[in-house]
Amino acid sequence: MNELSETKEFLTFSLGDETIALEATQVREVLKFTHITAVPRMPEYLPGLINVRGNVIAVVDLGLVLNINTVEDQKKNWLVITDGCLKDEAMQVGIPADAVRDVIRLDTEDIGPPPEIGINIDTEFIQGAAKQDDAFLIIINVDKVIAAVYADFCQE
Amino acid sequence: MDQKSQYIETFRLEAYENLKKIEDALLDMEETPDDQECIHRLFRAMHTIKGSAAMFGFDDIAGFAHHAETLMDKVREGVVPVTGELVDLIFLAKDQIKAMLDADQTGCGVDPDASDKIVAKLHRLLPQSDAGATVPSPEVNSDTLANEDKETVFHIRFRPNPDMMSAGMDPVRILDELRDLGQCELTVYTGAVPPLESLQPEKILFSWDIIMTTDASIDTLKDVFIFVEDGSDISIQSLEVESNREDIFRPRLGEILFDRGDVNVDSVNKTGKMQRRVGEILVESGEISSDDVESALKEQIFLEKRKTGTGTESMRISSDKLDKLINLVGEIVVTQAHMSHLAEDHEGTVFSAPVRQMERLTGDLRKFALDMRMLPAGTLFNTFRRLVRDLSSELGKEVRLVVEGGQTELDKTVLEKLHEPLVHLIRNSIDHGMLPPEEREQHGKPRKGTIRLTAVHRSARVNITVADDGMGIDMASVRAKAVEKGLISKDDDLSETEICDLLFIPGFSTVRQVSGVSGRGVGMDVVKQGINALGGTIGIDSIPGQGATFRLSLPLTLAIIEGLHVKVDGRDFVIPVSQVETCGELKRSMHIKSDTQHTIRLKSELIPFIRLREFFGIQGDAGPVEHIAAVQTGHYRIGIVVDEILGNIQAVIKPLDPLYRRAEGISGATVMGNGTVALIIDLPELIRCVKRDKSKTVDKRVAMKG
Repeated sequence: MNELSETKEFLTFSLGDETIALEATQVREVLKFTHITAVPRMPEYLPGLINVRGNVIAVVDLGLVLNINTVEDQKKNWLVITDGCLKDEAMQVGIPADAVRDVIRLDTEDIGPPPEIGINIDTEFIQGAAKQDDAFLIIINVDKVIAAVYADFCQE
Repeated sequence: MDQKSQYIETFRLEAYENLKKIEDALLDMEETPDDQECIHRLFRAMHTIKGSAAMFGFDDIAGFAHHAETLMDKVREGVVPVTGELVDLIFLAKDQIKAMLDADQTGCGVDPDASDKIVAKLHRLLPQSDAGATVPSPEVNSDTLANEDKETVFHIRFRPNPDMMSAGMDPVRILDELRDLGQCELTVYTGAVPPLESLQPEKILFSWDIIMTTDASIDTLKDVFIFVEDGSDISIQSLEVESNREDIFRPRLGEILFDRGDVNVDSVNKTGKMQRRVGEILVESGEISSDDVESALKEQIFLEKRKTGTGTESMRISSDKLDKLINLVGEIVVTQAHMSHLAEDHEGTVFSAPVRQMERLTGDLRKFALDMRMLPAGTLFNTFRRLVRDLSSELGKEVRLVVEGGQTELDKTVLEKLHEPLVHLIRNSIDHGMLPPEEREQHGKPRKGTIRLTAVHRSARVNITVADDGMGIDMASVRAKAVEKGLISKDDDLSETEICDLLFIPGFSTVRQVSGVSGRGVGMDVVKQGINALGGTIGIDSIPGQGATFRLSLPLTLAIIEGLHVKVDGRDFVIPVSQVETCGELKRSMHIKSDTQHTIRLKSELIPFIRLREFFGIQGDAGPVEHIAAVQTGHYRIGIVVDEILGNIQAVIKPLDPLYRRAEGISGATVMGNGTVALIIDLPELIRCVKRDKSKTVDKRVAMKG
């Protein structure tokens, strides 16, 4: 065994045509999609709040943030609850997902930089990319997504 | 936590409290340097810190405090005068002890040089002979501590020899000496004083009954009277509450009088049969004087106080535990709401009764838990005395802080979060409102400015005002600045209130010079944000040349509020009940719609209303009958129009996630009985946004016409 290589666990889920991977340490749990209370006058990518066992958690529509073409009438079935942080303050964010696929192990050596072409996702959120079987995984850094949403909308 | 660290934690908490006492006493001392009581308080607090620090092995603190105590002892004796230098030095010493306490907790050391420097300064203030003699050797003071626990109550009767003065003795000295030994309650007997014409001024005709609590022994007390024993009638008795008396809550007046030998058993028993107040009867019958009764009554009350004091002693709970309790209560409230919701489907079954019982109990539990977190506003207000002191001297101004309504209680969290906004407001008052003493005199004001910090309850809210007697807000310059910054146009017609409101706009600052004190353009808008985040409102009243007053209105608590549950298009919203005045139906025919404003006649008053459906951009039609809740917030009285009003609920407030914090007109969220999330309406913010939107549309219209 190569002593230098290290493996990490990832949760993969699909959003439109893309397969997204989140580092397992950033995933708290996966829940069945539940009613989202819409917060008025907010941008589309901030659809509202959910109740997770008495805690109110913010939802971020990752598909819209990443500008992924989601099939219009594809019903979101799952909510991935992530453990992120904003400016060192821990916070949980719910991400609606079409389908949750798998928990996989990736060798850190197999994770490459995001490809420059052939992908129309803003690369600032992407931690890396990897190939799993035939699928192409986009590894997302939740903290960066939160920070970007916060910078875009929440600060003037 | 093991037992030892628990003790240490207790020591730490106690030490912080004592440091606070030192600070308070120092600030008082500055105002009234001759007040012996302050010096005693100061000494006692420092002494306790030293003693317990040594006991718990904080030798550095004990050693350091010892030096401060030595100096204070000399102040107490009147050897060292109270000067500004002394007060500043004790402040430094106090801060140093705090740093040492903090350092122990955080693990990073404290600069020993700083301690040494302060110690050297402390020594310099000591009289020369003493300075050399004080070797840094703090004796472990467990004896003193043990003694303090063993306080005894004595009843002392002192009938001085009428000719005592001619022997060069003054009874007042004796009484003062007793006061130094402990807490005294005095009753004076004036019965022997003759009418003025026959008065012999050099004779002492008074006598005293003293009830004192002291750690001194009876022999020490006897020693006090050693030079006046001749011809005087002195009795000293320990009043320690006997164990067999403990079930009798209140010793009877008759008993006390009898114990003292003022009356005999027969006379008391006689009165007992007459079924009247013992005291009155005995006075009437001439058995005793009314002074006798008064003194005995004092003892009665005193003993009672002492008993209740030891019986229901308050206890120390870490605020951490209290927060956890509130969280749990919050969860119970939510779970209970869920349960009640489920039980609705089983109305009339075995569940109904226990669920209703549970509802009631949860309500009580919530009330008590929230009560426990209430703290008097004074705990916060008094911390500003130091701020005012330091800041005014830094800016070369003379300002005193007057605190009123310090006993008004507020939720701990509200109080904590109020700290920063109030610091801003006070700084602002000192920096902008107050002129230097000379200039104040030119304006016919006293040299020393006053900032008045007041708290009062008003229904379910607390009103806090910060009022100064400075120059007030310069309307013209605020206006000019706003025009310059493009916030308003030159021809805008603004009322004084509207001009004052400009101060709260982000980036607005009228300070010509950016001082290190009031910040740089941040300030008032941050204050407003802070207050709004608490569900509060802020407004300014200003009289040019006479001063400015900031008025804050805050909810009593943040954790759980009584809310009015309303629906718009099936979505749940909550309006804080404390701000709701009345509710009713709104029929289409009832309101008058003009181009820009909806108004409704409510009890002969025309009030504007906001339709939540419109403001929140919710699609769909409301149907023929809507509902309206009339609310009062700040200066405004407005109606909030919704589809349905469902009733009162207990809303456990969940703050909004940072990503949603900019949601307009929403202050938080809460989980409903059925598990959905409802949004809590932020009324002041809602009104502000509606006003802002309106001015925008007016602008647009003007632009289109042009």
